[in-house]
Amino acid sequence: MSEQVTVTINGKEVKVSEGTLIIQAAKMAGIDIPHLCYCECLPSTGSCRVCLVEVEGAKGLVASCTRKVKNGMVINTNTEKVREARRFVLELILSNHSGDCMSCDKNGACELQKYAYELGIEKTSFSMKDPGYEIDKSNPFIERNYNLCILCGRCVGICKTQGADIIDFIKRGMITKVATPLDKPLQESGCDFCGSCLAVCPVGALLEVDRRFRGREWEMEETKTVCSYCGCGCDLVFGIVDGQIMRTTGESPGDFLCAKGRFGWDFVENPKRIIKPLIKKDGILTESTYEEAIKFAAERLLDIKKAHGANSIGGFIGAGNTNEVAYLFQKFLRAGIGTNNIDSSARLLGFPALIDLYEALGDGAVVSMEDIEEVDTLLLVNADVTVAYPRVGVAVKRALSSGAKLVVVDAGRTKISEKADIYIQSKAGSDEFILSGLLKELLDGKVYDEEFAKKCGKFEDLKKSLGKLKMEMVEKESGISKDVLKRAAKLYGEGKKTVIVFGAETVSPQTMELIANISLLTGKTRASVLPCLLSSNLRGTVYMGALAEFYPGVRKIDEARNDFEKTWGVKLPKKAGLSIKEMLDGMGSSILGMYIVGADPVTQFPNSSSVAKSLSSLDFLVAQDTFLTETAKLADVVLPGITLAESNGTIVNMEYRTKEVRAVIEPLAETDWKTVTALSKRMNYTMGYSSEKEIAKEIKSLVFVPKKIERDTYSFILVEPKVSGEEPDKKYPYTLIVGETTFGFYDGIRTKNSKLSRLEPNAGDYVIFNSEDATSLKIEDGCEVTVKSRRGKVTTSAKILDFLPKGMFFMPSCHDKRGILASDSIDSKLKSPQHRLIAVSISKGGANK
Amino acid sequence: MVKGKQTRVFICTGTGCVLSGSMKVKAAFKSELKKRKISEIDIVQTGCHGFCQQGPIVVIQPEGFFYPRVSVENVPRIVEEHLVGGKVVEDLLYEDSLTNKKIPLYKDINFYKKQNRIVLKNCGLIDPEDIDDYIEHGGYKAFKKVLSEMTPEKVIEEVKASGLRGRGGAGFPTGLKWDFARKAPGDIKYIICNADEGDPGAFMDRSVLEGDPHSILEGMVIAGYAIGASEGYIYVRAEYPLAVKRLGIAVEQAKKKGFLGKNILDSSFNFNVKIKEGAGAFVCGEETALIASIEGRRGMPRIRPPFPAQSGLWGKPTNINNVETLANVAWIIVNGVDKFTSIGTEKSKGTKIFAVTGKVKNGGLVEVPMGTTLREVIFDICGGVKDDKEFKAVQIGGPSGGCLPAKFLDTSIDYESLAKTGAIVGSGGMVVMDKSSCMVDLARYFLAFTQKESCGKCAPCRIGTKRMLEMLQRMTRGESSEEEVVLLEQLAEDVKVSSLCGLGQTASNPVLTMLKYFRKEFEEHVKEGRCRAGVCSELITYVIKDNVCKGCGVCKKHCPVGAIRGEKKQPHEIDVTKCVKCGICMQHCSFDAIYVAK
Ligand SMILES: Cc1cc2nc3c(=O)[nH]c(=O)nc-3n(C[C@H](O)[C@H](O)[C@H](O)COP(=O)(O)O)c2cc1C
Ligand code: SF4
Ligand code: SF4
Ligand code: SF4
Ligand code: FES
Repeated sequence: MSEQVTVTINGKEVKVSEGTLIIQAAKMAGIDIPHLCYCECLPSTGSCRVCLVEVEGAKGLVASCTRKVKNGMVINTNTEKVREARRFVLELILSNHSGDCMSCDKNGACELQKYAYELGIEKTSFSMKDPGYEIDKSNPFIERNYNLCILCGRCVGICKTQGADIIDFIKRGMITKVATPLDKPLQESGCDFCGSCLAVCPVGALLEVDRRFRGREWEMEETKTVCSYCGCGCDLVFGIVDGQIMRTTGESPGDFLCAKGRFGWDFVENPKRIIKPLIKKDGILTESTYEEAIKFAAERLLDIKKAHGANSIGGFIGAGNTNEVAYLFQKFLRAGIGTNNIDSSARLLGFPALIDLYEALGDGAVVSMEDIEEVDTLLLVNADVTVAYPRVGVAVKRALSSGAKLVVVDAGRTKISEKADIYIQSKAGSDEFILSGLLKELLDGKVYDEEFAKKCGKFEDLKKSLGKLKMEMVEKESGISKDVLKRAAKLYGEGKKTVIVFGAETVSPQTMELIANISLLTGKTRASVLPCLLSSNLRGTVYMGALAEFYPGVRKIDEARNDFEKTWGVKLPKKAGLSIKEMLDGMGSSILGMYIVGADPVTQFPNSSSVAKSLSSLDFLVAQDTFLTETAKLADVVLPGITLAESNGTIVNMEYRTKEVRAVIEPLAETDWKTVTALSKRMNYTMGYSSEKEIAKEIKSLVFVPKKIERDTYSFILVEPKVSGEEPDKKYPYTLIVGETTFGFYDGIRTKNSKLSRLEPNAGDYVIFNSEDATSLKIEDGCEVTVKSRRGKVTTSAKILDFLPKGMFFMPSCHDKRGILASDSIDSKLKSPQHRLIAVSISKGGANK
Repeated sequence: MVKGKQTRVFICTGTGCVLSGSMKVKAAFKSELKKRKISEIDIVQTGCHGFCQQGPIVVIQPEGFFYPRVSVENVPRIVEEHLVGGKVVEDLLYEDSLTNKKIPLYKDINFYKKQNRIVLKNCGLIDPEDIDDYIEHGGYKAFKKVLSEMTPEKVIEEVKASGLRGRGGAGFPTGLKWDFARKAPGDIKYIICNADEGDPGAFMDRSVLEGDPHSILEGMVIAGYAIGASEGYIYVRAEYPLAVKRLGIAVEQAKKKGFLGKNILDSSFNFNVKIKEGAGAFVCGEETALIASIEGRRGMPRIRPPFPAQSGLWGKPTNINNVETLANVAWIIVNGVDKFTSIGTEKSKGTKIFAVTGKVKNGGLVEVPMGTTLREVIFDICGGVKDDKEFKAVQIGGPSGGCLPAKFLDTSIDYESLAKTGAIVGSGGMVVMDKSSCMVDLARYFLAFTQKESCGKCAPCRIGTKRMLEMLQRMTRGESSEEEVVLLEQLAEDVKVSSLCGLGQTASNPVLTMLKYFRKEFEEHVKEGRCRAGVCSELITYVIKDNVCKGCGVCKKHCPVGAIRGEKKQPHEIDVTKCVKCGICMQHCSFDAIYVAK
């Protein structure tokens, strides 16, 4: 704690800590000093000169946003001299602010307007000049009106704080303006459209294109909730006018949101949403009443249960629903129908890594974004943080700007890899070799935490097994020289506060174990990792037991059955449940009915042609979703689902924080929890909740709130490195990597139905070639290519970009057809497919050739 | 008779002389000597002599015969008659403008006689591209002394005692600044030499950079030793290619001689100098903007504190000094504090260089002791106003300085006395004006410069200077009013107190002093639409009422540009294309026949 000092502001004595800015000290004393360039979330620049105050003994007037208090300082914020100076500056600014407040979206929220009013400026003494700029409308989201810009520099500051740093002042004198370095449109200058600049602009110079003339800030009803895109789970405040979503911001103007969080919400109000249930009649999905659809679905499922037993029915749920819905879903299947055949998208999106991590390190090793901002050394493994988990990306960039060191292991030349001290561009699938090599170098270079490591089990075994590891083999498999690994090990090992950040859905279980080993070896005070999660509620979905092998609370089926039978008041199935792959394999024979909520396995699951075939062979399929997905198209009954923006409940983000989700608009369709309970009731299992709150209460009483389990004993895991993913061969010589893009998200269902589609070219319909492969395969940018795997082929267009090393290709995960290519073979332990690395062949031209 | 080996031909290759053709003159000397197979006479290219109006300048050493305005055609005669014949070429010698007498020797020329050259001591006398020449003239002696005999604290003490103040404009005591930087916590510290020299019309720093680059390096290494820095930057504007080149040569030579690098002169002191070319924005001369620019960011000033001495380049304690400031340092060390403090006034010690331009007979670089009066500089050294016209005003300190009328001619040049008048010592620009200069137009000119060069960061400077400029533009076009003159003054005051950096804080100085000392001219512009200097030709027109005109011809006689036509006894007429709107005709008409048409 810094020392307390006493200052006198307008005659009032206040105690504040030393180093406080005058403007802050005044605020604590309840005095608002007018300010335009100053913003609490940004470093002060002192450029607008509106916040001038008088400080006794100081020469001239002092900018209160840059001057720090000193003990005994006497400050006057409202003398005639101060007001005069302030009025003068405001008049000057107004003389160059030629807009019509009448039709400005910022009217009523404009800070310039506010202070002009407070100081009673009716008309500026200076001749008003219209700067005469054209409004910059060159990008789809942010309109920049230079005629209104007061050059406060807030947007420049925030762009830097968020790690983008792509806009700055250009030119001088009166023609100074804020622009990208060559005054090119944002999208050509590396802007990721975090929209933070919009949030901090004090005037109407930056406005969201789609919000123009649709409602002013003071007309908005604001609701705080959580972003339902990626697993960062950023806090969002929705502004609603007349029941329509106008905008989203963070809780405070400086809070980061990515393009999805900021601009990706119109999908909620997209007219293509399913609002009414559909029942397939003569092969055609036809609108029905809600009652009719529930009744029909329940009856058909009951029929199947009666005829073939409860285990002929299965359920699959996405990883982006609330805890409450996930909980009800599995309860319905287990207690209502009587089967453990339950699975969720979590299995495809990192659940195996989470389970492994839990076993190796306990959840206590998981750090928060704030923790990341404070580490001095980071190791990123397969985590395209700025693209896939943008808030983590910002945390990493902030750590870097305070001097942290970075080692990146990634086949892709990601944006963050450009900032790395050591970038290890490994061959796709060679992570296990790289990490084993790093472990060995950490040990050999003696840059590890011996004291901590000794306390962990199997340390001697680890040393022995690494002793046998041949670095030549590591070099051969990964294409990385051992010198690089040695340097990386030294850099990382010498860090005092370290963290390993990795993409949970991209690492193999073995890779996960190696990450745990490195973390233990360099643990210092404790192991620390951040598994990045793509889905907004992956943790919650797992925790709520929406998986064959666990009850809520990640409790094993056999161990916890008695407890749950007691609370749920029914006999629960003994038979182990099937994972999604196993269910798919049994469809048409052992599995005849399916209930799928908020998930589209036909697009999301690997080997999608066979998924579609399997689903078609069911006797009865109920799909509950917001859009008519490929899966829903195959359903016999489609029930409308709602988005998180219409839901109440909780989720658990990647940092292990439980966050409250609130409906920001009236749901367009029946809520998911009501639909599940309605279906259950019709199937003779009445759950009888009257609100989401009651479900939450039951969860709490049963499984306690999700929380980190701290561990006090650890053990190393011995790993024999293997190549992960599908191995290329003569026929399929290349590796295709499926990954995220900045403006697409996962299967693309939301982003494609939102205005983000304006920025994701061809809705992800392309494959990235590096220039070397492009030359040898005679491929030009934009030309048609066919990608073929052991499962099928896809025709798409080529994009040339040096992102991956030679022989490797990239396909956006929001590509419609990427599921056709991927392999669905699963590992025996966690039954999850390694579907992001696919062996393929590539040829020029369409599929018919 | 061919003279001995020591005869050398010094040809000025400062930018001024190069522009007037000294490189051709140098080539002519070379070929002429070659033609005559004379190899004993060296041709030495030197830096600026300061007397740029007289360029290209050739000096024959060791005697110091001074040939001004030498053309290629003159070269054979100088070689034939002077170098070979041993006889001074009388008609090519410099002629004193007052006495019309020929003056053969450099040192006897009034221009030099009254100067006291400390900083410029070597300029024009040594070859700036030859470190040995510098050493022969006592160079690096100070540095050797510092390194072998003085502790850093002692060096700072000396500089403090000398009373040396920053020559970059603000006049901050240099020793104190070094002391702050020395005492600031941190292992890594920097020295920056500010060679941005952005004032239009100023070329003091350029001349030192081009004429005596080692004196700056020597100042820098001494400063580095004193504050505990091991790296220095010279931020020099890219528009000074010759300076950049010579600095580069100087750094290389100093490295070879062991004055720069690791373990300098076998001590544990390390120091290196990097040259950074600036893009030539005026504001980049402001220290925090300059630092930003070196760091590769946009050159924009930031709020101080923290001052560079606490947190400067890359956030490390940094001492930044002007070229001229640094060039004083070695002299002080070698000649001693007492000698330095004996020059100047009580609070302003040493000398100051001025670049005197404008309507003056012998413009150029002038180094005078602090305390010299304006009159001495303008009249005694520079020979007075051109064409012996009446002195009207002098602008000191460039666009940040003030404009003083004749009543201040006897003001002593020192920080305190000038500040009292509203002007500043500034970096050393001095523009002399006669009656043909319009003060309103001049104010407009300076503001046009500052407003264009405003970095655009803070509102008062960015918008305020623009609004002032617009008002002044209206005044020069006769579209203004008396109220606006009042508003202009208010605006100028407000910009001064509320701007963020020195640029905005001083941008009003020209306007404010002009309003203070030449207010009448402003009023004439706005009230009568008259520009007495005849500069603001866009002002309203003068018309002769033909029914009132008696055809007396008085106006015709007085019109300075012959814009009035008319037969005797016939109504006269003003030719608007020739009229410069000075209003003289109207003043002289006894019949009120001339009026101003708006
Ligand atoms: C707009 C502006 C321009 C400046 N330009 C220069 C310059 O060209 N050269 C210079 O030495 N100082 C310039 N200065 C002053 C510097 O900020 C700084 O005070 C000076 O370099 C310090 O050196 P000194 O103490 O040796 O004078 C400028 C200041 C301002 C406000
Ligand atoms: S949207 Fe974000 S990245 Fe783009 S300019 Fe604004 S702040 Fe910078
Ligand atoms: S656009 Fe807005 S935030 Fe950016 S400088 Fe202009 S007024 Fe400030
Ligand atoms: S980082 Fe993730 S959670 Fe945050 S706004 Fe973007 S998509 Fe939403
Ligand atoms: S708010 Fe302090 S200068 Fe702008």
